[in-house]
Amino acid sequence: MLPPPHLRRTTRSTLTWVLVVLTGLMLTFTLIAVTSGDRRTASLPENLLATVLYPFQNAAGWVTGRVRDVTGGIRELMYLREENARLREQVERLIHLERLNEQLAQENQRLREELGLQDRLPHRLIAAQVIARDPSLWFQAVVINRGARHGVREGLVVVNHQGIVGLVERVTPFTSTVRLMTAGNFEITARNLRNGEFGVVEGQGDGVVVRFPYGGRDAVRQGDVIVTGWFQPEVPEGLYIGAVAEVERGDHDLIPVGVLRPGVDFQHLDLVQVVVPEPPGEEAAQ
Amino acid sequence: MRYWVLAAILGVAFLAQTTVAGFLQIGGVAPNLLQAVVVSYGLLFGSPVGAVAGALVGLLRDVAFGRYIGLSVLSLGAVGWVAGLVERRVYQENPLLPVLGGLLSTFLAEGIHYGVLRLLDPDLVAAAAVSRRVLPGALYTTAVTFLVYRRILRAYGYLRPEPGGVIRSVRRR
Repeated sequence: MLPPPHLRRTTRSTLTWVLVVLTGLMLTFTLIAVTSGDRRTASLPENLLATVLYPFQNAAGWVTGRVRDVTGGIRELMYLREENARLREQVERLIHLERLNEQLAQENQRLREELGLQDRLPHRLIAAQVIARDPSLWFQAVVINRGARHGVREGLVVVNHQGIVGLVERVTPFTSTVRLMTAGNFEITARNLRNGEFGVVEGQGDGVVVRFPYGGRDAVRQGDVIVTGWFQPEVPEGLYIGAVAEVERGDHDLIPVGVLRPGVDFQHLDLVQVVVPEPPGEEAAQ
Repeated sequence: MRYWVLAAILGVAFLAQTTVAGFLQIGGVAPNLLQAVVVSYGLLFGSPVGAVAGALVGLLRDVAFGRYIGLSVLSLGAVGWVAGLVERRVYQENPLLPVLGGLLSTFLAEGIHYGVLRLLDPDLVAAAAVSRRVLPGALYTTAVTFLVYRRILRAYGYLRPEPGGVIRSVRRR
């Protein structure tokens, strides 16, 4: 026997909802599965959206920057006297450091000549501004206002005056997504400046570690300076990554692991540079 | 329902989240404005509005940052849907509503993220770091949800004109 008409309507309506939700879930899971691979190029919708969002993010970034400048200026005025005294001390210290630096530069030059090494090639830099940040706790990425049209490509390293910020993960015509060094899936080859030991720097979600899979017990010590290694063609060697804050023993107490204190302040990223491993002026020549 | 206003609020929240929220970080945790808006929509306008708003803004987030597309659709869509389930059962002026909504929605959203990412990547290195930040993130997002919810509640009559636009507690009087 058939149920009364009003009940049939309710059943049909519920069935329609269940069907809509199930179809939506299936589509979503398919989309996640399809996009979960290592995607190096942005799809057309992603390019379109990034291009549409670019002026808005740029404008919002500009306003945020100006507001920060003004508040920073006010704060600076308030602490001017204190800062003045501190700066005097810093000047004294810098004069001392400059002398030391000159000595070290001379020594460095001498050692390079002795070893017969070529000076590192200078690289072309593309200045960019951070215009958006990934709000998720899981992925740490920022969007910069330079893209394929400006010469940025996937895999290039992004730095600021403090050191390595991250790697370019995806490029659209006017913007690029940069995976930060602290992100869980970040990896870059590295070298310990003290002993030349090669290792891998890995992001941990909120911190960074450096592993020396082929290193002995002395591969890493607290205070060691870690710079980029030479295995990655898009990443120039010798860029500052960070200093080792703590040493741990990794897998089965065999692999030495250093917990890094990155040079970069990731919470206050503003201006960055994309490093193109080619001599400056190459772009003009092309 | 004035859907275009709801969409505009979502758009502004997205821009604010990706540009300004980074500068509001406390101890490395930024407030989740998108989630606050989606939860408020769910609590005030019901599951369909909450789920669709969550899915749309989630898609925007996924496409803009180029990570697994669909992950935020799923988490924010679910948050909007679940928040909407209590829409007809509670007093919408109760201040505890956005507090509980903000708190529970963070755990739900991060739980979905964790589950799906664990399926895709069994050695999820970011899990430990995220677990340390979930509670502070939930508290921060709860505070923001409270403010956002109260603001949208004040505009309820405009956003959902009569006959739907009657606050639950007012209707019962």
